[in-house]
Amino acid sequence: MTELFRMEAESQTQLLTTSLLALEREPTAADHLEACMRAAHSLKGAARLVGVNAAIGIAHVMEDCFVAAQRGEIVLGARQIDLLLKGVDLLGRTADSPAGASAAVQRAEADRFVAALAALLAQAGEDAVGELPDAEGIPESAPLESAPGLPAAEPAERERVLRVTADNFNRLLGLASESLVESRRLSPFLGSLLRLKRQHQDVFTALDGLRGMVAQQGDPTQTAFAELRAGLEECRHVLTERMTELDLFERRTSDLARRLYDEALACRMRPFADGLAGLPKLVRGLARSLGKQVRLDLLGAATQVDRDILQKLDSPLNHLLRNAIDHGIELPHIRLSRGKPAEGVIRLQASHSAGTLHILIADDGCGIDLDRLRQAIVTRGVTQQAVAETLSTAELLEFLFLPGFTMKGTVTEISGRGVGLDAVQTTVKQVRGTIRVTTQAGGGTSFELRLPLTLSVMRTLLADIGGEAYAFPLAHIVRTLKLPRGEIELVEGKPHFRFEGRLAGLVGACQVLGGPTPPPDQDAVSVVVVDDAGAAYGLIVDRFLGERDTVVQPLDARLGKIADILAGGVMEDGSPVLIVDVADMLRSVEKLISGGTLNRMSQAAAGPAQRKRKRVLVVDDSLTVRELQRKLLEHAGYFVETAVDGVDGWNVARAGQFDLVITDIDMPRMDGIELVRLIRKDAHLNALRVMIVSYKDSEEDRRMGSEAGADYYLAKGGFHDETLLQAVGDLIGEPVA
Amino acid sequence: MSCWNKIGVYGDSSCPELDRYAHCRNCPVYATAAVAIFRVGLTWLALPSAAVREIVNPRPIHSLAHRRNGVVLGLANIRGELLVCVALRLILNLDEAATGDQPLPAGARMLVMQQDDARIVFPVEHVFGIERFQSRDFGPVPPMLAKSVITYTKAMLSWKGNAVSLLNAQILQSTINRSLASATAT
Repeated sequence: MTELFRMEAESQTQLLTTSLLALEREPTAADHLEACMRAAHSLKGAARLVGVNAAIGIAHVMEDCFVAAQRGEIVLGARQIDLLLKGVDLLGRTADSPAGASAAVQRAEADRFVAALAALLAQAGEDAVGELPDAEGIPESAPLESAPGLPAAEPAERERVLRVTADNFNRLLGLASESLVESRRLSPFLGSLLRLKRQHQDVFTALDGLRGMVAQQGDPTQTAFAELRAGLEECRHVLTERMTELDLFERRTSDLARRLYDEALACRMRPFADGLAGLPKLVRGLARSLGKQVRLDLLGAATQVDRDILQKLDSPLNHLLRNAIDHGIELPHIRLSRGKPAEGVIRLQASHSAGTLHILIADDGCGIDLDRLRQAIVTRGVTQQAVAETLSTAELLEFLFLPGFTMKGTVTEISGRGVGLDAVQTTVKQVRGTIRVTTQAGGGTSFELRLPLTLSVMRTLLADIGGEAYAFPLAHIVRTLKLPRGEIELVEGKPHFRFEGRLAGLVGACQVLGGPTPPPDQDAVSVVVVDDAGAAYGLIVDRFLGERDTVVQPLDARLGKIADILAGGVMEDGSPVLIVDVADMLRSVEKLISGGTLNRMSQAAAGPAQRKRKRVLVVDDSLTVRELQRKLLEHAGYFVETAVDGVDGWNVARAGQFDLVITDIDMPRMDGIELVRLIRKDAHLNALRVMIVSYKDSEEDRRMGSEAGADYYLAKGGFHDETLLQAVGDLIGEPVA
Repeated sequence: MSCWNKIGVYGDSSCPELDRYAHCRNCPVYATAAVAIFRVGLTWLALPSAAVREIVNPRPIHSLAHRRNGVVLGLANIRGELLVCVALRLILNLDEAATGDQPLPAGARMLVMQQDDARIVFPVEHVFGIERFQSRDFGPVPPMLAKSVITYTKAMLSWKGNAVSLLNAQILQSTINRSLASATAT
């Protein structure tokens, strides 16, 4: 729930900021005031549902302020907007960590803010631009420029960076790949012309065969023959000329298409420093809170990194830096006593080497105490003392990546919860990279990340499964083989085969992907062997189509995650291909091998029952409210769909056959009252029951609701799980008819 | 007579809106009346031309693992991008024999619909082209149409003796979005 609140707060604070900035130029613009008021109102409601008191207070007093401005009681000048913007900032921070240790601090800040704004409101009617109460207790967020460590160099020669939406970019890449596919058609066309030329040559030879016969004929025939031959010669000449021209054109076009495509792909790359703007500030803040002096040295800031990888790196880098500051760098006096400068240095370096991206995070701190690590491993029962003694340094350090493993005795706010390095490793693996750690007692620790240069092109093995093309990322394939049918063994009734001396499970890929099963008519089957933590499985495919670089295209987001599928791609001939999510597929294979077919049958049985469930449509612009109501009603057994505002609700209500619509009143685009009116006017929907759930619970609001045609009015103030379910039950009865 | 033939660029060009739109084809009055007429099975349908991004020749559709036998047919490559193809026949509940295994008729096309920023593709048996209608050509929706078709129909048109349902692209899009998200579409 808090996560939902955080997401909602993010979008509403953005809206507030934009509208406030607009208000600064146009202090009385009604639409902006309205937007601000609604955003503050929605946030207040959402905060109340999740019980974030600090946020309720801030949102409430802000809403009051906007209402006063709407009534013309106060005018929002630059200073008032300043204060309100601080409130927005505060709201954002409160939502980010509502339960963190900083909650108390935020609470105090919130109180100061509420007091300041309340004082502003109290001045209403008087000189609104008068002396403002002291708002200095509310800290400004530290400006980025003051953060040390970012190389101040090269701003002059750095290229201008443009913002392009991902959609626009994908479209551009799509067009580039389409033109590449199209340019490839020229070559076969040229080939067909070559055949034509040969036929032409044959005709020519046949004609020359006639020459002897023609020589015995009279003059007119000979002249006609000579003319014919000259004409044909001319044709041959032109054809050859044109073909040379086409050949050149083909080369230029395919070269151009290839360059265009490469350049478009290269747009995915961004300088390494782009994603790291916040890090120096983070390092400085953390270090100060621990009483340490730490400087971040950023090297290779201009190194080009795939923007998707850069985005994914954000949290692992963050984590490694926290670790380095908390565990690595010593307190200043200890450093001095060890003969090091008081200020510790963390080096963050990016470079390209051998076709991979290489990132190094190295601190000059105390290093990892290997004996303590050995001890921690034994204490936690991961391994026995005797085994721990024999482990090499590299093997020992591997234990740091175990889930839940921590060396720290106490959990601090910054690190030591033991949920760190394994998460870092998981993320790195997700982008198909590796991570390695080295340490030197007293000299520091460094983490080395090796990552692919781009996620947008993947080396894959193409295979035909059920008549359609699928691509397996090569990084996940152990090997491929042709398995004679005679070598398939049945273990517990399930097919297995011998692979490197062990028995490995064998599953038809079409079985996993749910497609048609091919007829078993071959003597040998084509098998892709994939590996999962030591256990190998064989996937039977119809046939191999070869190895190819596939440009990865994300699938339409509306489809959601498709089981066993990672992304899509386009083959050289322009036909679509799906890229297999091997990790996902391995889980499916395991399910199939351990008799997961049961699952499918129970699903089929559940089908018809689902159709008889009563259908409820929840319309609310607050994500938090929407999800809360959906969970409540689904838990009770109703089928629930949601819509984000009146217009959306109106579309959904008309398309799906619902028994009940539950709607909020205050919503953008179309409000709840209007929605109820439309439903009541529609000949097909007027039997639909409608309930209004709103914070507005004055007599007048209730009257407006019932005049529009609502069957029930529930005030959100008195909103409890039981009252909602009770009301729904009263209106449409039990969840299942 | 329509306004573009009287006061528009095909008439005496006296329309005051011409200052703003320069040509009738840019004007909403002209655009709203333009619809793409097509046939799915035996049902004649139309979409406002503003909702149709392009009409392309049939091309291979790659089915989606675990999403077969539903509204979602799979993915097709449209200008280098993989777009989702859906069966309009299933959405509109047109209960006619499936034409799946029969050879595609010569007029078969794929229609790329665009609403807001989202695009969706559906194969149709025949596209008859873009036709222009006047507001008085739009008739009421007769109640004897199938309920599912009524839901999506904005108005009825008569074209070459056929009753054509003009679809409401907004509701259609909203339904498609929802059926894409559900893992086991109907």
